[in-house]
Amino acid sequence: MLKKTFLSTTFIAAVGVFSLPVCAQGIAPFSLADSGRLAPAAAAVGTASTSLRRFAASQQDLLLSGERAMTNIAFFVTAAETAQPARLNIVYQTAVSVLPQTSSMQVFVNDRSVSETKLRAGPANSLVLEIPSGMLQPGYNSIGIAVDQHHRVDCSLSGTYELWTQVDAARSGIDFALPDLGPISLADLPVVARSGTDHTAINVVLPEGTSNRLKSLALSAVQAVSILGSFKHPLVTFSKTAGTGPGIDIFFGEGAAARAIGAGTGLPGVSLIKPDPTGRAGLVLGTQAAPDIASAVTALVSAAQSSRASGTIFGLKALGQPEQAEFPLATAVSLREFGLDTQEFSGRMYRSEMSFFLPTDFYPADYDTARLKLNAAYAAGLSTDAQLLVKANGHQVAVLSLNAPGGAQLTDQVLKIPLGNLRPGRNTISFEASLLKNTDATCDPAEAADLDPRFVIRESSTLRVPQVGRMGHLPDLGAIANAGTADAAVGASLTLLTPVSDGPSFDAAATILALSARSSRTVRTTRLSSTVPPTTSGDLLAVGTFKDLPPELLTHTGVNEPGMLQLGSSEPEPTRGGQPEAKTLAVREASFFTSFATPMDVSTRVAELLNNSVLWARRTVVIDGIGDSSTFTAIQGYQPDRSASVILAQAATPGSQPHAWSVVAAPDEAALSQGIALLSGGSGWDRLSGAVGTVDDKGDVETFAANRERLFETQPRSLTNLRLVFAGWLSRHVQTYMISILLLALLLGVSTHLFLRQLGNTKR
Amino acid sequence: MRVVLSGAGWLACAAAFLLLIQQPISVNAQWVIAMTALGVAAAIYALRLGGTWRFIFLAAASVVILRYAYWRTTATLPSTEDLINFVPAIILYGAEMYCLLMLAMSLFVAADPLERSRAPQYPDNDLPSVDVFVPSYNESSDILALTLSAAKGMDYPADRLRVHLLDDGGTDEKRLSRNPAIATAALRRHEELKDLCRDLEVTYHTRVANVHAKAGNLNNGLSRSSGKLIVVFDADHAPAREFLRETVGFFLTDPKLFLVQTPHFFANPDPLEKNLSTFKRMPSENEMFYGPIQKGLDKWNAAFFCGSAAVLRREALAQVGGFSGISITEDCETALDLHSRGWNSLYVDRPMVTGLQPETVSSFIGQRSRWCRGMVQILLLKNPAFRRGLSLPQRICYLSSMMFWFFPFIRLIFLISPLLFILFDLKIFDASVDEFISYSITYLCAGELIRNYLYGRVRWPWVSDLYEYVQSVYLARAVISVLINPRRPTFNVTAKGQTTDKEHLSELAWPYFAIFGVLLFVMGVAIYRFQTEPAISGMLLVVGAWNLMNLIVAGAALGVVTERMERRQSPRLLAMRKGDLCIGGATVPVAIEDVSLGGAKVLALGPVPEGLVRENARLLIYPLSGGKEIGSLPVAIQSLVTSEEGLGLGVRFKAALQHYHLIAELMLADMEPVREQRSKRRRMRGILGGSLAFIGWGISYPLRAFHHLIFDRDEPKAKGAEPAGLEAAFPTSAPTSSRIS
Repeated sequence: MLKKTFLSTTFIAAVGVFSLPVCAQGIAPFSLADSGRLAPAAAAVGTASTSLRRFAASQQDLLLSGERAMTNIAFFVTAAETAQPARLNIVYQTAVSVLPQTSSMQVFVNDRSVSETKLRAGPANSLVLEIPSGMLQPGYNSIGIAVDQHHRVDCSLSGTYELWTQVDAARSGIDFALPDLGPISLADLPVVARSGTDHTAINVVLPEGTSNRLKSLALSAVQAVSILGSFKHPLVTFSKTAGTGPGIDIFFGEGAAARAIGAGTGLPGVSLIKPDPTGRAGLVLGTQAAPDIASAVTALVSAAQSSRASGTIFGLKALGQPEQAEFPLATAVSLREFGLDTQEFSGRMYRSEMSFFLPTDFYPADYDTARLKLNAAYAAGLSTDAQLLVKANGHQVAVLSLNAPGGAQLTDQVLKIPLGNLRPGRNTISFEASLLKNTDATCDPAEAADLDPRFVIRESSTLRVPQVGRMGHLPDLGAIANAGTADAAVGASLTLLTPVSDGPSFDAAATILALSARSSRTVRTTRLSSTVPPTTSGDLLAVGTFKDLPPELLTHTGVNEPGMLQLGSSEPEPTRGGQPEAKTLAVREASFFTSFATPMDVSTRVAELLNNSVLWARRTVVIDGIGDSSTFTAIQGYQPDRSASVILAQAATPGSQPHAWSVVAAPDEAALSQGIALLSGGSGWDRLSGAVGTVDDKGDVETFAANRERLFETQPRSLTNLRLVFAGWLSRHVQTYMISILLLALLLGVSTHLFLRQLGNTKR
Repeated sequence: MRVVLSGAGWLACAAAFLLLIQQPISVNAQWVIAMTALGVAAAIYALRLGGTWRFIFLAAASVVILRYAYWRTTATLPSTEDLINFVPAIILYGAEMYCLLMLAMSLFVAADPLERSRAPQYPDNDLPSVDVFVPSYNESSDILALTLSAAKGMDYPADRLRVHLLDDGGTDEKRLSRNPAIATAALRRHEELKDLCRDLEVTYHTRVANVHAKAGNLNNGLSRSSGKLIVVFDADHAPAREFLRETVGFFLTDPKLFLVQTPHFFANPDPLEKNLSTFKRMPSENEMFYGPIQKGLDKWNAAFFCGSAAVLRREALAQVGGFSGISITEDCETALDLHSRGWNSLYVDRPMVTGLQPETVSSFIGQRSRWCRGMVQILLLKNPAFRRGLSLPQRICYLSSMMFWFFPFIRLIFLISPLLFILFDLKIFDASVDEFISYSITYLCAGELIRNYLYGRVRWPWVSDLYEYVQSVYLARAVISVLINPRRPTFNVTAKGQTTDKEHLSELAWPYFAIFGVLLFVMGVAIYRFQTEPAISGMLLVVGAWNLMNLIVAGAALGVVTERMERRQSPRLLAMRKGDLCIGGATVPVAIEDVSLGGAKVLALGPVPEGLVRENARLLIYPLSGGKEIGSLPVAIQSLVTSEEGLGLGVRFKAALQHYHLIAELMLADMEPVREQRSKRRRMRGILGGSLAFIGWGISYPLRAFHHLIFDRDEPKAKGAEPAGLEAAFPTSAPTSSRIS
């Protein structure tokens, strides 16, 4: 209570001091249809101060839509900044449909509410809050912005889509009143991302004619920087000169060192140039003192791979790195812990989601179910079509009607989510409850102001994900995103194939590597090539246009240029997270055994077998399973959509040890650059899975599963794991399962008949 | 060697099959698998394929059943921490697994029913001597006269056939009873039967005291006779002429053979058949047992003695001290003893006796109560699982026959389980609606498909459920009483041949009404909750459907406990033979259509004289093979019916003792028409048609029953009915006016 009073007083003082001419604003008319997009901020709020440190979030990250929405931004604060008074600036625009009297915005710092105000409608409003000292900790902190928005005149569900508030990334952030950031360390690299732009620019400065070896090193450095800065939306360019505006330049060697004096970082040959007033920082690899670029890069890489993001637990959770949001298996976890809104909800459309990470070698198939134990309640008088929709990674997994006339308490209602709906890496389970009352049809203003709670999912609701099958599988685009291939696991290098080793294709490839490094916190060394290497050479990433990429690569990965119709091909169903649609019978080929790769040679395996005869059963299965696929395992019969600007596809190479060969292709270079920028700027990267993914011109990602797959072991062998994977494999190859089981039934029938003829009394 | 090879092959197939079955796969995959397997099974079923296909059918259906069992075990049980749900859940689970075990055992039994060829025939000189025992407790002399005459008339060398009446109704104990009424009746009976036996040239035996019931009586017979083979006929089981020719030969072929059992054929309906009017169309309840089951048991050398219509070897009986009498089902017990001593049995699937079965609900329940208690007694006192000397298949067969009798508990659990969810919201079956459909529904379909495929000719769909339900209501208590005290039950003679002179409710009806009422109420609650609790509407639909199934069975059972009027005194057997009717000097050739102990229906084949005299006619009877008449029966003409075929006459026999061999000849010399009638009823009844008809019963019979409940309340009890309520199910003393079984 005391705290609240204090905060309110602070808030009033803040408004008094930093009062901005918002009152003068009329309600600017704008198109409702444009609700999801950024409307240009009115100039009336004025330009941001040079000492404003913006959120490391894109405009899309800061869009709050619906009746209740919340965003948690991971905000990196340096140690020096924590000593400063901090002033949180939020400049926002709220849809004209929002009724200000009943709509509010609440701001949280590290999960503690610091302000609750009425929302003001109109194009540009500003909220300035003093953050009490001591609240921000060095490292990542979470800044939460939650809005409750009510419609002026429309009580329908579609009306709820007209409710939004866009926080202006360019003018919002925290002002520490420090015009100059001062020297920074490697651990402070995340400050580079505090740009308020859609991307974090990483510019590699290399002279023309740079050797492939140096380029390789540069790619490693890019990945290391991406990890150190936890750059959510990196965009890499290679150029001859340093860039401008927020971002970071990476310089190599003495030439670079001559340009600016960087501060030492404690790593030999690595120095940092502090950000200039525009937010441009620099990283120099190969200093005068330690000119060897290769060893500087190696030092940087190892520093990056051993680094861990620091900050408050809320800040780290907001950062959403896998290690912070890894789901504990076989444990019931409160939904709230993974971000679900468990407060009472009085609107008409409840939307909230939880996200968490599953192991990268999780084998997603329907051999078990995650159990969602729901404790919830809803009010009396909801209309007959009131319901709660639960989606896992965008795929509906359960529907509950919420229309008992007297309302109801749902106690321990178990909803089962087949594991096939989940995937390795990031998973999102979203809840949507439509909660119309019959009185909403008339939308009487007196009734509309009714803010009685209609729905709540209680904190006691839990999700339990059982022990899952752990088995690497290819093709799986998720394996690029989270470095989940066998090669990545042992640190083998990746062949990067681009038609030319500069230009947009190369930039795109570097961006993909940066993204991959950030999400997996692993740096992959690269080998540059412009031709197709032998299949035994390891993982491969090829980036380019359809025309420039070697045609055989496209054939191997099963993709064609959009619009080039392939005779006799049929388009597979779009899938959720790489698995077939629930109702689709997946026609998969190849046997369980032949899909197995051999992670070690036979003699080792036999020796291991002899060493431990207890494990006989499971070993035999695997030994039988040494199979050799003689062709690439990839999607078949896939015909890309014309609207796809970029296609990502993957195949497993033939041979006993499969490698992931991935291709990123676009019709032309412009489309490639745009597509990769969209992929990096949105949330599509985390959703990549399956054998093929397409990015359309809005940045939406669609994925397609392969009809065959190769498996490889990632875990010490165990019967339970093998059993789960086998069952999962059967679930994904229903036809094979069906045929085998019927065949066995036939054999059993015949053998029973033959056996019975020998037994008991025979006809006499 | 071949056995080992084929066994190894089978084992390998079964292991691989089980490996694939026990995979946790998605609900969708399960749906696809289950539907495909059901499709394969249904195709084999629809095409009526047999031979190897029979086993492929069973394997395909097993896919669905075993998948269900696996899923049920691994995915549907609530947490042990939640005891309120867990305890009922584990009970229901146990009941289901028990059903699966029973299914597995019955599949084993019925895996390969043995079709025997006819008994080998030997010259008369080689045939062994035979003693025929007809044990009697309280049957009337006319019935005994028929049975003894028929036994006497069996086709067998006369010098090697002796018929014995073993009278337990005229024992010294009874004749010297302190109760003068009992003593007088026993004395009169004793004298009457002695006379009868003398006239029929049958040996009459009685004994000092009624110890060890039927087994004791039979053992008394054993001690007073010396034939190599023993034939047992219940007092109402009159045998056909060929009985010995069709059985005895087997004993000469196999010196280790102790038993040849033949089916019992009933000429009257049981209460279910009578009250649901299905006697003429539906196969009798016992046809499943005397068809696929006994033939299946025969495959495993486990066909067992059923108390009557069987031939036994004296030498074998002597080894175990005669008929066993520890349990109240001495027949099965005796067979178990002899099987465990290495003797063989054999089953001949040819009905050659006709008998009576209980016709009222109370006597039916009384009879089943005895079987049930007896079988449970044997299970407890001589458990075949641990008995030395039995082969594994024999153990399984006997266990299957005995463990079957725990069905009352299973039924009651299935009856109560849906209530727990609908009324008390207990979550005892943790599954989603999708899973219910993909696993449970397909499992039920597979079960019904198997039942119909294996037993469809002898059992209509759902009728087993009805029989079991009707018995469960009373038998549950019977089983419990045996479990508490296995040695306590005593032998009660089953009442047969009771008649009902008007339609009325059975005196045992009230629990059926109560259950029906509760289920109806629960159905109402389910519908109410379905409308008001949308979150669980899917589950309510599933559980409600389950309750509805129970309700339909309970509804049909109300039809069973509404006793229909049954006037005919003695059941008729179909006959098809020629005769002559002599009326007042004229002789009219007739076709004898059906015969009962009291009379016959004949069709006049020639002109019937005008103004016929109804009394003092005679029916001349000719042997089947043709030739000279073998005798004539004094008859009175009771009715004349003109039909398309001609003039039908109903004649009543005015038979004296010496005429009974003629009636036996008429009724039993040729049982072919009876067997034809039996096989005519064995028409495959489809699942869909059978189910729809059953639903019809479930809807219509409650109306009839409630009509009686409301309007007949103060009516006096029906004639011949047994004491009301539970006493009938557990009679403490033998009913007075009934026939022995």
